[in-house]
Amino acid sequence: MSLQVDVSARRDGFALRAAFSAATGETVAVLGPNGSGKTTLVEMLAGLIRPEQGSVALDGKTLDDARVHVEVSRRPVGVMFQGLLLLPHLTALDNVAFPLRARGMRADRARREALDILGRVGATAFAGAKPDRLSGGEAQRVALARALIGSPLLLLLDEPLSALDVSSRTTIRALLRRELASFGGVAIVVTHDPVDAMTLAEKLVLVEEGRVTQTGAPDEIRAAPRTAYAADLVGVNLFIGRLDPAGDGTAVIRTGDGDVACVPPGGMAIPTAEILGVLRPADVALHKERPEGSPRNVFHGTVRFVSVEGERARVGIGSSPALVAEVTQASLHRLGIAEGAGVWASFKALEVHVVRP
Amino acid sequence: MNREGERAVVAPPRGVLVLAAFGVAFVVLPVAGLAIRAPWSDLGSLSSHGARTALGVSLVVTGGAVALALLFGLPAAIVLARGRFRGRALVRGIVLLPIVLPPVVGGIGLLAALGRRGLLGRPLEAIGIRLPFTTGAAILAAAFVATPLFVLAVEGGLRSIDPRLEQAASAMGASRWYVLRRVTLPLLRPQIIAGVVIAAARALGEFGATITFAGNIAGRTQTLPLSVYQTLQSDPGGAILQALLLVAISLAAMIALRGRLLSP
Repeated sequence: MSLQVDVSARRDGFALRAAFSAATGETVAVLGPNGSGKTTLVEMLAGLIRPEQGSVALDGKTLDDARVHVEVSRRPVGVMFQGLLLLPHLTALDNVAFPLRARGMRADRARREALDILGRVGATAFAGAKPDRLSGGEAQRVALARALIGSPLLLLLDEPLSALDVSSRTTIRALLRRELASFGGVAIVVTHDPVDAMTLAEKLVLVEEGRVTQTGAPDEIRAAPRTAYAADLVGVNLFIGRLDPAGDGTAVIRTGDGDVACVPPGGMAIPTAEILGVLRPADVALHKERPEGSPRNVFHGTVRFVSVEGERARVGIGSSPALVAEVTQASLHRLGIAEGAGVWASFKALEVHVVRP
Repeated sequence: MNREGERAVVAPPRGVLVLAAFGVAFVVLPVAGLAIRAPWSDLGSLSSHGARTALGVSLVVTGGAVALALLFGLPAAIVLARGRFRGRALVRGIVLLPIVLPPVVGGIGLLAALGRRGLLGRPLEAIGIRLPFTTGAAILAAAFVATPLFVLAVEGGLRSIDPRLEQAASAMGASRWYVLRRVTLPLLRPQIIAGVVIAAARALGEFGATITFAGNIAGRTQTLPLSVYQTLQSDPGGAILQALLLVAISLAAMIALRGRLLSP
């Protein structure tokens, strides 16, 4: 394990208590509603605020504990700030070179390295522009380059996709996925958007009201969400894949693990290379026998898990694609659902909400 | 005036317009009076030895006062805007006091502190520094009244800078010095320039503290305003011409303020 966090911190009277860890090469998404304490966590990891208690260790080296507080300027951390915070008086190139210059590298060498990274994120064309001349997507590229320069061991991306229009969101998200996949250290993506979290990270840390309520891979959280927030946002079924036409105005999402019929919103191009289908577990109906009638999506599989929460139960089905359904306890008994038993699942094409990732 | 982004407003009532016209006339009239009463045929007298010397002293004194304002006012503004300590409001009040103080009071105060019999006068004289009635004294008098205006301009600028930009810079590895040099000061450039212009204008016009602390010695402490006052006794026309020279310099400063210097 490369990043170990177990702290409580305070900022403007707001308390945060967080414990989680992340392996080298892993991307962790810190997901939570606005005001849940995510930015406090980022500022603490960046070293801008000192934890009241606990410790932070990176690659076995203590950054924070009761005695140690590594100065903000001495941390091997690259940050993409919320609102980007590009320095308005510097060109894109000098913004990206800034972390190297600040640590004492000579201007020509720093600029050369900055130009390299700008090329990697597709921002060479506007290297000489000041931030107020950049579009949202361009500024995002510059900010990402500035976070990546100098090979930090820890990468902090605070709401990296907020304040972008739909089309640049898609391209920047693809860029982020590529960069995060090749990034060698620990990456932390802070977001309030579950789609961002699940498309960018292998592991989620859910934060609500200053506390970590659940950590785990999206599949694990989907199987047994511990809070209503987790169930609503992460506990949904997600289908990612190519959108192909299926005649009569409908389409299918080719997930690579089975096709899902859906009705894309008007104006969406078909085919589209990558699309996201969202299906609420409560919209999945379960049956003992193969259902008759209208549903376009019918799948069969064995029950992988059943988790009961009050009157409701979540049922994981090992179909292709895998599904999570939410049913009442009564129907659980009526259908004789238990782990290992076979079950049919169905849902309407209309209930799959199609969005561009 | 129909610039983009200008919002529709309710026109002010007529009475306000009339009073405003009086207000404008009150400023225009004296300046116009100077221009009309000036003996333009004697314009050459401005190049007379006395006027040229006074202008030279004024430029040295103004330059020196601005240099002092930058050297001590800039750090003071930074500490007042960014520092967190008890009694900050009190310190701020003391620093800005000369703005509301009659300049002659400042002059007497300087005399009491730095004069030959003053608090620090003797120790200074012991190490060979004699301030009263020197150009240095005139510079100190001008700096005394001009620095607070500079501090005020820069402090306002510092408050308008997003502190997160400086935080971001330190999170990118910048030391405090580096943040100040490469982020804060560049972002503050327009306000520093504005502060310099305002302080220079104030220093240029300084009269009361100068004549009290530095005296009125031609070629050493007699600045242009002092020279205008003295010339008025014997040669009203010449005084008007010198006054117009001050108007011209002040107007140039105002135009500089409005111009491109102010944009970042």
